[in-house]
Amino acid sequence: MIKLVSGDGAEFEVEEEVAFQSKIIKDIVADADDVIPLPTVSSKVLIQVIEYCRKHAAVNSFPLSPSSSAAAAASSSSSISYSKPVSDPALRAWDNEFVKLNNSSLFDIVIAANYLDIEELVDLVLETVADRIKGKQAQEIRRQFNIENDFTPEEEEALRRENSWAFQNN
Amino acid sequence: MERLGDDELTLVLRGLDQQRDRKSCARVCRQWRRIEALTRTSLRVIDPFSLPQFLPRFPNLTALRTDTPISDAHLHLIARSCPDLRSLIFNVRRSLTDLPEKPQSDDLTDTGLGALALGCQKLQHIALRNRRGVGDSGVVDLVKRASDLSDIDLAWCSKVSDRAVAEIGNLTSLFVLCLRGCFLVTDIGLTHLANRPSSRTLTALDLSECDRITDAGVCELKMLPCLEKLSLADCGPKVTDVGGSAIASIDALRSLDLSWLINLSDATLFELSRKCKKLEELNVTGCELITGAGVLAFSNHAYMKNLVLASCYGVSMEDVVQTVRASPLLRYVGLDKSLRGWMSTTVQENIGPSYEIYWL
Repeated sequence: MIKLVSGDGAEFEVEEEVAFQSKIIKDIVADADDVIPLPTVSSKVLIQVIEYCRKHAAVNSFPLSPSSSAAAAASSSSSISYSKPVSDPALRAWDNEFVKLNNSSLFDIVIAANYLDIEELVDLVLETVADRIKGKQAQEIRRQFNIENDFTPEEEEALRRENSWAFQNN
Repeated sequence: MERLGDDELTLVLRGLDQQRDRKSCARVCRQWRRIEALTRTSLRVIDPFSLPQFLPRFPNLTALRTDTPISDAHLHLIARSCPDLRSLIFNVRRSLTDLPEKPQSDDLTDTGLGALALGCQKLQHIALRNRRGVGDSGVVDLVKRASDLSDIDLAWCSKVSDRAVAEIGNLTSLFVLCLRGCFLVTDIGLTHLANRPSSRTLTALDLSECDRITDAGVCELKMLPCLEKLSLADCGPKVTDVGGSAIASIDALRSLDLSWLINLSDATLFELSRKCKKLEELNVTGCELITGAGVLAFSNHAYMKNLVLASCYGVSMEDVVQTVRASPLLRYVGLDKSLRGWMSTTVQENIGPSYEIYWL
């Protein structure tokens, strides 16, 4: 068991395979202690992250059936896959439920997951955040994510002009 | 709630590729504007005069495009600001540079290209169509520094000559080269191209309107074993069946444009149909010496799909119909409108619904 200590001092005991979903923790455990302080992660966020890791550790460690491992071998021989997409539909559905959070919680999780280097969780949350940006105007994005507009009127005008005639995306 | 740090915001914005979304994000707040610019990889410049105001915010661009005149000073700025550029598409419309009353004295020259070569050594694709200020020394500088160049388009850069082509020949991963309208290029340039490292990789070569080249230069092209696409359109009267027969020995050829080579005859078509088994497209528009015999040589050709025979007055409608019927894959035949009357509706229907004749 590995003990994780949140920024507000709460302690969480988790199994190795759960904690090792985080590459950072895996590295720390390899050359140090089993008690790991995570000063930048609050207990509220840590509980959510552990919940995610527990679920994914359980699914990932489940032994592959002969047919699916044969299929995996066949697909890996035909093409190189760079990131491992979540292919299990049940897990995919669980993930979709997991990210039904308000923006502030999502931001907290993406910061923690990025810090802990949990690639799949980072990707999941980023995709969710990106979906909430797509198709919106700047003003709507500010409202959605509670961001203050710190541009001067002159800067806004310069941006507007740049965007309309100086350049555009290819 | 915690504010997203630069790292996380970078990750979020990297996932957005729609132009509208990126514009909106850049206008959210200062942090978002800064990170949006840092994560942008491609840009099209509409007004180069404002380049100094915005380009330095975009240091990670890999693709830059503009179709307006752009000065050497701007190229210096690009070279300093965007070291990771892979693709630079600076084609300009022909009409803009052709107008005598509007000289492009402020457009880029070899000096600017030299600066670009120093700053952007990762360039792989460069297109400078109609940039009349481009000459040999700029191209030589560029090719020496940006040794990964694989796709070069210098169409109508009319000051480019054999010296630049010789240097281009030293590239080791060149796939596409367009020298259309670079009329100073001669057989000497082609000889360099065919006997230097680029000869081993070149798959597409456009020499159309290079009317100083002759059979001697065209014969050198035999040394390009990977060449799949070649245009010799409008290369003038000195390209004859000698050159035509020589290129028939390039096994890889799939697409060949020989239009308006008035001294090319059936002899070339016999050789092409016999040797170029992979040939799919052939354009012999305006090759007046060609007759039905040459076209019929492509009956039964396994791969021929697209044959353009406009202004081939020696070819009759019967020859065309017979060839189309005997060729398994031939689907498109381009013919003169004037021939339309010679093809009865019955014949058009008989030729079958899976064939298409287009009238030029």
